[in-house]
Amino acid sequence: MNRRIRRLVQAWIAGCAILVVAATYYQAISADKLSSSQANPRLANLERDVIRGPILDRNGGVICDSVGPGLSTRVWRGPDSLASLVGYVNPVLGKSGLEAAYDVWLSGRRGPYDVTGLLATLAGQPDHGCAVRLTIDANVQKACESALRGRRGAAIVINAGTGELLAVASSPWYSMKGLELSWDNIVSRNDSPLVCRPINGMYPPGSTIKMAIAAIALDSGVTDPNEVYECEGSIRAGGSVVHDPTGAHGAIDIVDALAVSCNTTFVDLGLRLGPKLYEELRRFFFDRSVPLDIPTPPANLDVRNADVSGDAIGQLAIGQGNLLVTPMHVAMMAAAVANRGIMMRPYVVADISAVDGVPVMVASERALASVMTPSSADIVARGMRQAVKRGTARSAARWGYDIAGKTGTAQNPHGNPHAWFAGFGVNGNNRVAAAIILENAGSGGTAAAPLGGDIIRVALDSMDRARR
Amino acid sequence: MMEDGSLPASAQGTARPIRETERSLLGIVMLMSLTAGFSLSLARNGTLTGEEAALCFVSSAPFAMTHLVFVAKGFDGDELILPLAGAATVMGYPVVYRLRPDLAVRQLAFIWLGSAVMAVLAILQNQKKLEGWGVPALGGSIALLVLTLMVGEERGGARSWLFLGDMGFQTSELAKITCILAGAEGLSKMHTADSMATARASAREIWECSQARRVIVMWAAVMLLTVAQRDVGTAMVIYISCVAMAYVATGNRLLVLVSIGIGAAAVAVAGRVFPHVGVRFSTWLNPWADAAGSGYQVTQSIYALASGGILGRGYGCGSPWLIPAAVTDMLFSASAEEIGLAGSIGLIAIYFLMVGHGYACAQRADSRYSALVAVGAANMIAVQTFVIIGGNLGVLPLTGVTLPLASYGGSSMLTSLAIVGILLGSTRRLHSIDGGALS
Repeated sequence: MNRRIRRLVQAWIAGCAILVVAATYYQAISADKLSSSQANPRLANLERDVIRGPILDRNGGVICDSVGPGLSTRVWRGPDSLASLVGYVNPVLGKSGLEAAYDVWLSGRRGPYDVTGLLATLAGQPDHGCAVRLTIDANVQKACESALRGRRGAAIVINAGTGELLAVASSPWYSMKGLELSWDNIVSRNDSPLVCRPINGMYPPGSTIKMAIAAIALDSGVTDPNEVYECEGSIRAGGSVVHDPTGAHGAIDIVDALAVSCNTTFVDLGLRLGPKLYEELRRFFFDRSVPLDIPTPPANLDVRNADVSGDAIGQLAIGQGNLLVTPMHVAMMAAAVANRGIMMRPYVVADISAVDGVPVMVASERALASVMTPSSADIVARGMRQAVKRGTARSAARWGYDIAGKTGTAQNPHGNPHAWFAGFGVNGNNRVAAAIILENAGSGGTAAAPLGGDIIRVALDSMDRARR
Repeated sequence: MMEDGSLPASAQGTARPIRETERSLLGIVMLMSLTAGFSLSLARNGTLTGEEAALCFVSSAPFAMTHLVFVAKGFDGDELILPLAGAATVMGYPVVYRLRPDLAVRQLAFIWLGSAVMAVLAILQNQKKLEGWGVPALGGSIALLVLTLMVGEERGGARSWLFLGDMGFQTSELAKITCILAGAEGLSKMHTADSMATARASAREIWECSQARRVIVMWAAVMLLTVAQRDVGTAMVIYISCVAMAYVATGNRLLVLVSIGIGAAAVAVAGRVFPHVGVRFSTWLNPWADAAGSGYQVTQSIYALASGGILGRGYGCGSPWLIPAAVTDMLFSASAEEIGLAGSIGLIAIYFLMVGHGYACAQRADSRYSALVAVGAANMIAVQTFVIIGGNLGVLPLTGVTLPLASYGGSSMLTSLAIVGILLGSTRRLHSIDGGALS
């Protein structure tokens, strides 16, 4: 009989093991996924009872905050051009942008209340979500906003030495006031105000890609700073001919070629690099997305099925053809030149802190990649300074400021070319990079460069003030 | 008089046991109840000294009282089972309190009353005074079941409540105890001559033993009446426990296989005949298919489990009331949200040890009858615990049975403690046995 009782003991051990496994599955393995499911009524209850945390700019200025518990009390304080980055919170429409990406913190689900057991009993229920402080500088953002007002386009400013995003402006923007009523109108508009263009818009890079081409050509040894090119105003690439719209530049070196944005020279460099160009451009994240703290789309350089014909490489070398990138990709390229070849990981959330100001998460700066050698970066920077001094980007020059830049005029199937300006400004140890694009606005040199100069000046001033 | 009683007795090794192990373990149980009470009081009114602390502490007190009675009466039963039962009770009580403060005092009364029943049954069983009463008691239970079917009232889809004034009682709960006692009586009469350690009885031998036959017929009657009350969960618990007990008594494997077949067929038929059983099955297979309707209880249970995480939300910080019927059927999930995986595994471990130790005690019981009572009682707790925790965790279809000793409910609490009582009474203290009678 005892042997038979032992059988029951074995069955009981098996039964309890099943229970423990099932409990572990629900309470540990899939717990996070299940408990953050929108169908979990606890989330709605928490949202109803908690005062959602504010989103602040880098100086503590309020971008949006909640004046009471619940989702309907969100108040937008601006700048308005941040709307598509920060996103909306609405009981009916849901959440978007950073409001959605940082919801666990803003809603108080995570943070100082994220304690368990007896500690939770002592701390009690949360009543405030955490504050999310961005790296955005409201002054720089406002400068971008006034540059873009009334136009379609994007401007993005990066602290080249740290990777902090100082401004992420998208135009047109939508008004947070009465969002629910105007929703149908916003969604049906042709100029897509909901898209955050600086990080989600996809554009051909145009001549701004020449910063990367020059660095790649120097680093891979197909040219050197002393080589002199003879620009005849056009060059054959595969079966087609690429022209310089302003005619022949004559005898120029690489610095001059950047300054005047000489297509002939860069197509020549591209053809010298050949299929290798695709592989080298991967370093600039042109085949994937830039890792940001919120999801961004990948640029579409297709290395695996690369078109290695002369035609395609010629077009790629001047930023035309099939390649599409985000303004952030372009700004990062300029930032890498400014930072002597080191590309810093971009980030937009500086820190997250509890209602009593105690930080619960602090972002740290990190190098993403070394995309060019310091000496090549210096040569490219020299070319960009010359572009502002006497080349295509002259209208970005500001007296008393060290500004370098590269313009672009990107042909596209949607009408007039997009006007690009990508550049950086240096003041002591401060280095800010910016990219601005105006959709279908024509020449980068006339439309975008003046605005780029203004934005970089404001950014340098603002950083200078902050340091003092 | 001290000298004439205790001195010669201690010389013979049969000194009145002071039950030190039980006392120390109950100390821990009382500490558990006190911490739970302090936490609950802190969460609910911000101070340590609310009435929660007092009531939770008082929920552990009857176990200490039982211990004192056992010592006073020279009770010689096992020392681990009482603290384990106490632990399960004091783990459940704060959850009941937290979910339904209005029921807290009632539940406390049931714990006290149940403990008294437990102590009395344990002592009577220990003195072999219950043997012989099992079959008549089972007969009485069957009569009550018939009465319930005629004049009972329906609660939660099952017509299993008998009301006396406004005091309701689930008669099928009483049948659980009497099935164990009568089963042990009937089945222990077989093979009285030969060694019972290894012998197996054929189906004919079982049927030819009149006492065994009578018990099997009575069990079948209980099963049919319980199913007729549409209390399928309880019927299932009794059925599996009794089959397992019969297996231990007879060693007849055919009996087990046939019983499994009958059980499966019965479940299939029940799924057709009772619509709510069929719905429970389809909900079990995919609770998310109708998460807002029939799957609501199970999916809310899963959300509660997940929200608890590893260490739990803390007493008073979760939202376990979002689960329907949390205080009776879903007590495990409700407690899991606030005490976390650590607490749930702890709770499972308490039942694991209580039942496992019950089986171990059965193996060294002093008679075949005691062994079978212990096995039956352990079976009943084991099956009911597995069925309801499994239901809460989505391992089994959800049935409306309670978590023994922890869930809210008068009949359930009294029955669970009574079963612990007969289990205790059928065991022997570890130190009082040399090697065990049956090995």
